[in-house]
Amino acid sequence: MTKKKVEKVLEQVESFLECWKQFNHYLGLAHAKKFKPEDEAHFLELKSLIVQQLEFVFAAIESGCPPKEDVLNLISGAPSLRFLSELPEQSLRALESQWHKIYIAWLSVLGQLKVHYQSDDSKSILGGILKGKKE
Amino acid sequence: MGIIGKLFKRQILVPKKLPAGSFVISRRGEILVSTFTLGVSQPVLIGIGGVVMRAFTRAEESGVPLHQLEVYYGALRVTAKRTRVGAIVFLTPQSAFEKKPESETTTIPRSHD
Amino acid sequence: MVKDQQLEILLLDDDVDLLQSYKQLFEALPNAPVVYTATNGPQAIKILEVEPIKVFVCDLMLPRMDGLQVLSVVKHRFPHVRTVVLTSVVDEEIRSRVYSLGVDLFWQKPSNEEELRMFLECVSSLLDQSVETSGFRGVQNKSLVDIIQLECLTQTTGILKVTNGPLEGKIWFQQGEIIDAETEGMFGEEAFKRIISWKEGAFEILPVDEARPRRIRKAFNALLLEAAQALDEKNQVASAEVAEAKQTARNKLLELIGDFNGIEFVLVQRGNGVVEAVGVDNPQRFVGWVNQVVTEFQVLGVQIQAGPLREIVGVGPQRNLGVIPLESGAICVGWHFNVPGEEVRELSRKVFARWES
Repeated sequence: MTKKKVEKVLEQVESFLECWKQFNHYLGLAHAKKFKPEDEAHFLELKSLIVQQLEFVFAAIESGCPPKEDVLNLISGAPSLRFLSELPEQSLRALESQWHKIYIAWLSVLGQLKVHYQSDDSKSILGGILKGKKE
Repeated sequence: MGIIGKLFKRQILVPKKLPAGSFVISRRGEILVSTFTLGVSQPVLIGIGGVVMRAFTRAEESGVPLHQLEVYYGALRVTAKRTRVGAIVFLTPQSAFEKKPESETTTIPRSHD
Repeated sequence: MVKDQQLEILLLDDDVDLLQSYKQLFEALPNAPVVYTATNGPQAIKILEVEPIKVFVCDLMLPRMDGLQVLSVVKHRFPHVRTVVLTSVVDEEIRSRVYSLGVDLFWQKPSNEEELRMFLECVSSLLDQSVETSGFRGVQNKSLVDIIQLECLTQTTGILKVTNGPLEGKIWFQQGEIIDAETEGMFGEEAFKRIISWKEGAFEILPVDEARPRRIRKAFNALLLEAAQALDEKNQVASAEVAEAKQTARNKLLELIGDFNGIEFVLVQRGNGVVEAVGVDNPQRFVGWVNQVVTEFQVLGVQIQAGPLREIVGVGPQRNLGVIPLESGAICVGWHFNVPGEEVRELSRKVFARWES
C-alpha cells in the first residue's frame, strides 16, 4: 500500500476516534440530564458518522482491530439521549465503561499504524495489517 | 400578442431546501465522511467546512482558541466542533415559525434515585 | 445620443424565449438601450467585465450559479450597476434576502400588460439614474446645491422631489425662484434648510400640479449661502459631538460590563474601522478575527441562501465569544469560560439590545 493510502487510513482512524470521543460527551449530557432537542439531533448524526467511518476503517484494516460488533452493539444500546438519561445509574456506568474499553483498543490500533508508518520496514509489516490493492 | 403571450406563462417553483446533516472535514479541507444525500454537492460542504476551519485557525492565531462554533443564520444553524484532525460540522435548518426558548435545557426527573 | 454614452442592459435568464421577448421590449424603451443577454451566471459576469452595463436584470432560478449568488458577485464587483431581480418565485424571505443584498428592485414576472408596462417604466427609470455611493442620483456627480442652482438658472417651474431613504422632501420652483419647500412636517425656509443638509439620496423633477402659495421670498443665492453657513457650523459642532459621543459610548460599554455577570469585555467594531472596546488590553487581536468570521460567514450565507447572519458563538477553554453583526461592523462580547456556551448567545443578544437602546 502506498504511503498516501496509509496516511488516508490514519486520518480516517483518527477522525473515527475524534467522533468516538464526542460520543462520550453526549453520554455525559445524558447522564447529567442536560440536553436540548438539537443535542438529540446531533447525537443521531454523530452515530451515523461513526458507523460510516467504521466501515471505511474495517475495509482498510484487516486484522488487529477491536471487533466491529462491540462498537455497533454499544451504539445500538444508545438509541437516544432521552433513553440514556432514563437508564439506571449502573447501566449508564456500564455503557461508559464499554465505551472506554473500545476507545483504548482503537487508540492502540492507531498507535500501531503510526509506528509502522514511521518505521523503515513499513512496507512488509504493513502488508500484514492493511488490506492493499494489488498494484 | 406573440411576445406578451410568451411572457405571461407562470412556472410553479419549489423553494430550495437547505441541507440538513453532518460531515467531518480534515485540516486540509477534505470531507472525510458525511451523512448528506447525493443531492448536496461536495463543493458546498467544502465551502462551509473551509470557512469553519479558517475561523478556528484564525481564532487560535489570535490567541483565542475555540473548540466549538455556532453560527446562526435566519434559516440555518451551523454547529462545528473542533477536533484534532479537523472539525465535525452539523447543519440544522431553522424554521422561521419555530419559537424555542434560547437557553432551555431539558431536565428529566431521575426515576431511579 | 452619442454612441459611447449609450445605455446598456444585461438580461440573465435560462429561458431563451423569455430572454428574446424581453430583449425586444427593452430595446423599444424610450432610452433605446443596447440589450445583452446571458443564460447563466458565468456568462453574465464575463459580459459585465467588458461592457459598461447600466442595469442588470436577473432571474433567480438558474443553472450552475443561482441568481442570488450571481447578484452577490455583481454587487461586490460592479457596485455601479443597478440590479433588478425578475422572478417567478414569490417568497417573502427570498425578497428580503434579495433586498438585503442591496438589489434595487425585486419584481415578480408580469402576468398581464399593466404589470408589464409598470415593470418597463421602472427599468427605464433605473436606466436614467446612475449609482453613486454618495451624492444625489439623478445627475451624475452633482450635489443637491448644484442641482438647485441649475433649476434656478434655467428658470424652471416645477417641483424638485428629493428622497433620502425613508425621508422625502419637495422644493417648489417658479420661473427659477424657490417659492416653497416641505419635509418632515416643516415648510418654507426651515424645510429647505433641512432638505439641503441631506448628503445623499435621489431626486426627480415633477410637473407643478396646482398653484403653490409662496412661503419663501429670499433669492436662491441668499438661501444657498445661508444653508452653506449653517452646514459649516453644524460640522464644527459635529466634531465636538463626535468626541462626546465617543466618551458616551465608552461609558455605556463600562456600564454593560458592570451589569452582566461573567462578561469580560465588549468590543464594537464599526464599518469605518473605528473600534470601541472596554475590558480588553489589546482589542486588535479580536478585531481581525471578528472581521474575518463576520465577512466570511455572511458571504457563505448568501452562497447557500441561509438567510441573514444573526449571531456567531465561539466556545473556548479560556473564554467564550458572542459576535453580532451590525449594519456596518460587529459587536463582540467576551464571556468568562464558565458562562455556559448555550447561554452566550442569549446573553450577547441582551448586551447588544442594551447597547442599541
